[in-house]
Amino acid sequence: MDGLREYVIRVVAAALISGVVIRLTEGIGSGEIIRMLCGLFMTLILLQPIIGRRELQWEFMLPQIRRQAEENVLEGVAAAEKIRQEFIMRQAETYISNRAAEMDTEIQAEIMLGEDNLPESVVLTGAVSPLNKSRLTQIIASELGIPRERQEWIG
Amino acid sequence: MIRLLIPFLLVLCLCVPASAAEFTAPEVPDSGQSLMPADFRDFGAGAAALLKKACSRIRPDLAEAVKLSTGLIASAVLIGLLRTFSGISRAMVNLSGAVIVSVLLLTSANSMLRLGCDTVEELSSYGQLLVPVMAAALAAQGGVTSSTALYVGTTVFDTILGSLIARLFTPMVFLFLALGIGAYALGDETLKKLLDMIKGILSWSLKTILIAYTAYMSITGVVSGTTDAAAVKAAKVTISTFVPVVGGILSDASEAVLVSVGTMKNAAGIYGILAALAILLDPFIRIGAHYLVLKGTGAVCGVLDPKGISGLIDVFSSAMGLILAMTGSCCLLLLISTVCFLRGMT
Repeated sequence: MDGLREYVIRVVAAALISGVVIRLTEGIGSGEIIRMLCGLFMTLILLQPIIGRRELQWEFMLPQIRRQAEENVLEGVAAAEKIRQEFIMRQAETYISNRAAEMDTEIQAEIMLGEDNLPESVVLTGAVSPLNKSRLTQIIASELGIPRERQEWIG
Repeated sequence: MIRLLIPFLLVLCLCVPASAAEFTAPEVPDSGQSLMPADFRDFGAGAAALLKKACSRIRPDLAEAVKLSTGLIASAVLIGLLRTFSGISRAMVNLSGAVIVSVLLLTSANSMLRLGCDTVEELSSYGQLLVPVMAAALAAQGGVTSSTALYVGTTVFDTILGSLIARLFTPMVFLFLALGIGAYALGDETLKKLLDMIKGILSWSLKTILIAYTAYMSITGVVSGTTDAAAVKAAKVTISTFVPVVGGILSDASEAVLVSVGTMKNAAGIYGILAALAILLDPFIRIGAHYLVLKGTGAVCGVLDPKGISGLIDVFSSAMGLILAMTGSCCLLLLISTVCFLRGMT
């Protein structure tokens, strides 16, 4: 019933507006065009229940669009963080391998990062003499901040 | 020898690639696949190759347009001859001329309009895949505010433009053609004025949307870019001198992220721009060929039959022009947004 009342009000209002506009534009050059436009306008209003509501819904999509934008940002920030962490791990591992190579020793290091992307622990694989092992342990503790107890030696 | 080799190998080991995440542009759809250049690292060369390929495929469409044009010129000659016979009324000649032109041109106008609508839809779909990638890449570089603002602006304007083209402008072009046929069949000046009004409304709407969009993107890019740049500067890692080596690595890491993500973003952006052009160019050139040939034909028919069908041919060529404007606007919107994302916080 409300829908019908709304429709009737809309049609009557459109008819009143068209009537006023036509009356005001009588006698001017583009009066015929105005009459035709008013006719089109009335037709659209009358056919609205059949055609359906065609107003743009973009203003209702804004919250969804903002959510998508926030998701993109989170994705980008996470990706950047991942790149940063991988870079830090690779650089630290390479540094350890290089220092070992200076001692004519070959080892492979696997760094684990902690909070604030600081090296937290390391797993070292390779055959190392006790002297070089001691020296490398000291270097890793002092220069990379990984204490002895969080260095795991394999092999 | 080994002692010389080891430092060399150590230097090589320092060149550690820093990219783990991928920011890659979505694959170009099938319609543009054949036009994509083989090497899209250089934008200028890629765009030139694209244009060359698109232009080389114009011949069949040009031949079809010229065939139509020949038919129209022949019709103009016929209508001109009919006018000279005093026994035939002017109204009847006008009506005949309008019917002939409509029969010759309506099918091609309809197919060009459908082609334009399909292109708009493809560009919009591709944009919906590309823009999130660019937005994430910009956010990864530290442009969090810019990314959000540019993404929201692009999506809103793209939705508005796409909706308007699909629901309003395309029906208006059909209405434009119908009114044109009516105006020249009946010789009604009122309908001709309405034609000009519709054309004006369409052109004005497209221009306004593009100007508003460009202004929004420019201002937003500058304002939010400044905010982001200041935030990135302020958030530079505070290096702990307590652990010197780690401190050095951490400070290099931020720079490595910016460079790595920047490289990926640029590659994705250039590919995206070339893909958008690949989607647009073929239909654009086809519709453009029809537009230009009809324009020329209208001019020639104006000489052969000055008061006749040349006006209606101009209506059809204007309709082609409107379709070009709609498809071009969609592509321009996507290109502007991609460039804004590429520019980032600068």
